[in-house]
Amino acid sequence: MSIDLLVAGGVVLAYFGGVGLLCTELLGKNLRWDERIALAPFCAVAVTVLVIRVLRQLWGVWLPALPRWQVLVVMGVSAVLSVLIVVMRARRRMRKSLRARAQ
Amino acid sequence: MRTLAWLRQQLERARSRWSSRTFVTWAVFGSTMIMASAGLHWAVRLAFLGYGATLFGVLWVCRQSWMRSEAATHQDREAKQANWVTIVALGALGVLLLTRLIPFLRFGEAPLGYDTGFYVGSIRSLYQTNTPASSALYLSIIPWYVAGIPPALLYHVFHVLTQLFLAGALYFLLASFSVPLRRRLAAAVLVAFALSAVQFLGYWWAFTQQMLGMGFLLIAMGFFLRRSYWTPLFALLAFLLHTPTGAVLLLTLAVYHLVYIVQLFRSRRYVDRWTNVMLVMGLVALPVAVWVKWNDVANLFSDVFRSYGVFLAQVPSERALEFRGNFIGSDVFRWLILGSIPLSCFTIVHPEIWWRRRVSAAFFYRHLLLLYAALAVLVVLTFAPVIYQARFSIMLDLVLLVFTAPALLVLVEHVAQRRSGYMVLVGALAMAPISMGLTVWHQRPMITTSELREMKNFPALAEPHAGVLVTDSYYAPWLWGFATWGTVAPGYLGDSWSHASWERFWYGSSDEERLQMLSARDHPQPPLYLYLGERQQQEQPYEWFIRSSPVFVNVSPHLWKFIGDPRPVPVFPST
Repeated sequence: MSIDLLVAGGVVLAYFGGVGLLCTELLGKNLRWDERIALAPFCAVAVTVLVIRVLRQLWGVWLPALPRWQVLVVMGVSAVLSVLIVVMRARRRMRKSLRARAQ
Repeated sequence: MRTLAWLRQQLERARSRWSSRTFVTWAVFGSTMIMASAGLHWAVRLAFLGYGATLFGVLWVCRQSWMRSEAATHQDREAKQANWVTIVALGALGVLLLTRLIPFLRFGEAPLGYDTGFYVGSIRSLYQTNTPASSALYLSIIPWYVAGIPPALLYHVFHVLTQLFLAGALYFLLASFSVPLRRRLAAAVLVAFALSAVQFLGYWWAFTQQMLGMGFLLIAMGFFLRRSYWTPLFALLAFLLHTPTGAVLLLTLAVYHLVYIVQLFRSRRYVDRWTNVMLVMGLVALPVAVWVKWNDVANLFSDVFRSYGVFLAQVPSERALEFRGNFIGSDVFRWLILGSIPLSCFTIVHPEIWWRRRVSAAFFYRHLLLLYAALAVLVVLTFAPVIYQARFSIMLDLVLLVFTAPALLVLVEHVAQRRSGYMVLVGALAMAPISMGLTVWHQRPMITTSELREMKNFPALAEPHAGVLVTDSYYAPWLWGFATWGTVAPGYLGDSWSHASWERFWYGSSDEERLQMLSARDHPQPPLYLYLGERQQQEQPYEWFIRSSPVFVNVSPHLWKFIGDPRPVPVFPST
């Protein structure tokens, strides 16, 4: 297996993980970490199906017809942004709970 | 007279000790066990009834101890045992992954069942023709496709991941119950899932769309139990991924709402806001789902239901396997779930086991009714001879696993406290991994490595647009997926011969007629190749004809090119 393929596969996995976790973050605050992990792949699949379908239906954009590197960059950026948002929200939540406990 | 009085006294005593509920419970359990073991050899049946009665009896006897425990105590214990729950859940996932990877470790590239070739072929079509895929499954693998992963590898990675997703969905469903022991129940259901032979066979037969669809079904049910407004979205996706799975969810929700609303009216209460909103959202989502999947739905009604009705009895024998769902029969299914029936049956007749205390009507209607509705729908669909019957058994197994989890947990917790009980438990539960291990070990690939290599080599052997006529449907998906799309098989992939024509080709005594039939064939386009796999060694007239006639040239061990030379054809020896 080539390095190129491994990197691309890694980007896709990161995209699924990141987007899935972001969706579970937005779905509800009362989900525990284990429930989020269980739910994340389904959210990622749901978002992917809906986005690709809407892009094709409304604007006629067919993802595989775009240059590979463009799609990979978009997926990589969405993965990084999703993880950042999840981490920031988790940190804010933790700070809030610490403050509440201190009071 | 004295004897009669004594008997009456004993009956009175038994009546005071055993409530009518106890009789009903044992009657339901007994009849279920008798029905489940119908048709088995008497010795096996006796052993099964003994095993079932022992498990049920043990759970019944220790019922008082787990019913007495307070929920608060459970909550405390839950917090203390959180690490153990995580370890058990991770262990179950490890076993799940191992059983799913063993076929690959033993047999290499294509060890799974019939549908593998269809999926690989469809993904390859995405690569080579860049056709916009409409199925939700292919849309969900587009990111992997864009990454440039080869079709067979992509499909198998995605299929294994789907199993982990399904395990996650089961975990999510059990974690959605508002009971104090939900984490432990979720871990227990993962153990049951990892050791389920039916689920392994569903995986082996490569039902990826159904597996992913079932995952969405369980997630939708989980959100439903949580009273979440996200339920319709996940239900819609289950429908988009796999229409029969979506139909099961639809029927389950219909039965649930019917019973729930009737119960509300009987107790003179209003339908709550959430249920109203859910009904409205469901009524909006259903036309959207039908619109998106219009081709499938229209095909189902115009081609299938209009031609054959809903029952299998009307389906012609040559298409019976396809319309049954091409999976294990209901007898094999029953055999595979025998071990877990006493446990699931105990939970079904004892809803208290979820809460470990008396269940209120509110808890039953809010949490358990949905499971009972799914169970009722799936029992009917699995054991009635309806179209797609065999595939519904995989879903029924999932629901039974959910019912197995609480009884399994009680058994482990209460019986394992005593040394003798521990030994009995280990002995009884060791049967599940042994049976699962044997199922995994005996599941052989459908084609050999050399056959697969030969199929993949087809483009190098044949002309660019050459087609292959498969004479046994067994090989159709493999050639379609790994050799060429120009593959045609008896009854499908664009085949133009009727079943009667095929019977003449397979079993007819005239080789002249076979030659004429092949010469007149215009699909697939010439040059035409014929494939005879390793299992086609029974010297049927057509096999003899292909192997020995000069109108065919053997280009590789299993592939013959039809050159259509009108030289005299040797006569089959038996004629």
